[in-house]
Amino acid sequence: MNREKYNPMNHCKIIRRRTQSSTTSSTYVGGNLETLPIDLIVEILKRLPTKTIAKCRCVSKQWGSLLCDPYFTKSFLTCSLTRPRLLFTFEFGGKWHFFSSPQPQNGDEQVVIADYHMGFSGDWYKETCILANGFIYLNDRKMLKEKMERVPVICNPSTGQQVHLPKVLAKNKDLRSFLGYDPIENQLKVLCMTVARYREQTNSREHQVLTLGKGKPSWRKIACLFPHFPENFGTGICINGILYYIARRNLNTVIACFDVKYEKFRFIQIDDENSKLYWFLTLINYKGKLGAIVYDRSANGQLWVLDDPEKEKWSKHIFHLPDAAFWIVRSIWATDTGEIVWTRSRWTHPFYVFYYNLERQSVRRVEIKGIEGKVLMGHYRPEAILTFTNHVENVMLL
Amino acid sequence: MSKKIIFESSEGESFEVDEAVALECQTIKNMIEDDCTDGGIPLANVNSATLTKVIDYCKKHVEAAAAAEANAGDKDIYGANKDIELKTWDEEFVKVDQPLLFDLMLAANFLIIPGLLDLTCKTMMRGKTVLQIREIFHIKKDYTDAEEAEVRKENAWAFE
Repeated sequence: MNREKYNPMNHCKIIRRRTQSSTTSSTYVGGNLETLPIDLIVEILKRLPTKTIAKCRCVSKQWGSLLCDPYFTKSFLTCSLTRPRLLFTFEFGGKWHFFSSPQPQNGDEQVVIADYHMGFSGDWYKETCILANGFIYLNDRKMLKEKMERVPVICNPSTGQQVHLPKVLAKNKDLRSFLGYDPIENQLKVLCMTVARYREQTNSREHQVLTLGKGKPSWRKIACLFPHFPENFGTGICINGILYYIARRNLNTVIACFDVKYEKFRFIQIDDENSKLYWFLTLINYKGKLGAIVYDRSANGQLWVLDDPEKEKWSKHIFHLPDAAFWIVRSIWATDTGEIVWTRSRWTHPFYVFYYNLERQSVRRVEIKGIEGKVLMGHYRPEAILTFTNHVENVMLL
Repeated sequence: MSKKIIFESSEGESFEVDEAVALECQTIKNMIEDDCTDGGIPLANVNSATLTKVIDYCKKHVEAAAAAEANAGDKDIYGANKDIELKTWDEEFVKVDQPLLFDLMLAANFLIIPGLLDLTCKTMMRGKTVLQIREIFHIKKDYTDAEEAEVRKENAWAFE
């Protein structure tokens, strides 16, 4: 047997790839053979927490530019899709504070430690913060021309980057914004519209879109043939390039569907005779389908799942939250296995995430540690608490 | 009796392992599938100390997987406990000095053992300062002091 031929060295696939920013012809980072090929460095770094990545940017110029290279950021994103996290945001003292923790995978974890990322200055006024593909959209207040103005901001708790977007120019100041992600073009877009009252009806006008990551961000007007009024409590949810949010048309509840790629609107009517008796609390991603958490006057919860988006066919499931009424609940979502999860809208110590199993009608809770010591000092209590599931860490810089 | 595979370390020392254990390495799995493992597999870039550890790791994970499968019927608490036990074992396993940890990482990358690569990378970089990272990877600082101060400022949140 020819040993040379079967030497595993020959089997080992070593792709030597030059990064765009690499100025030398060497594929080795330090230029000497003791150091590692770039591909191996990428292999190592893509497995690390985002805080370590931020530190690594300070190691050398080459590492700094490698970590900005799309080759690295894409590898990192692919890797972090396999380890989604929970993102916790707390607003107080004029700042949004961000924490993240691993997603509890099975029923045995009773305590999970959250890491503090950073605080971004921002406001909680009608609009809250919105998450898509690892990026956060929020509103900050800034002095512009001696006037306090609301400025939209995109920030990323995985890199610490904060990008101030141009002010929305509109006749009306009452704005509703949403953040959507188009996985086909790999593009993040902000949808913004004004709402105005006219003859007892509140409707949307001046629909504008801002695309991120393509040159200088600017707002573009788009057409919407169906004026509607987006509810101001929901943040919407983006599933496979469609942004869904709860809205009203002619006093009826509808689900607005905005195609992020083609920038087209569609509406799903809620054709239930009693639809006015229902309160649409929030939209969730239920096993890849659109789900709505709805409750009726008797305060019983229902989960509506949109089984067929074309025929607008919903299946309805009743559930009871054993120890929590809906009004003290915020940030409801569903796990991949179909558990309904929520946190409370007020800060409590200890801080819990609750998991409700629809089939067994049972609840478990996981304590989140590591938050109180970092930011909750003295008598300050957060104004708003939001939790996001399936948070993907994205280290791409805009 | 199960089939045996023979590894040869860079020092020329032979290590006999069960085929099931060797299959934990994707690189070796490919070779076994191509039926080219007769006469042993020379691992010219893995020394004996590292190879011993790698084999320990693969053995443990094969055993753990077999035990988990045996308990698959009553999954709940027991399955999860095994998980925790394996995690603890992994943590103990990587309590080694930095050069051996680095060699283990290279071996895991070369032999393609994703679990071990993940474990060694994370352990190696955990809690390290910028200075220590430069030492581990033999990187010379090419930032000027002013540039470094600037980039540290941009990433200040990571140092808090």
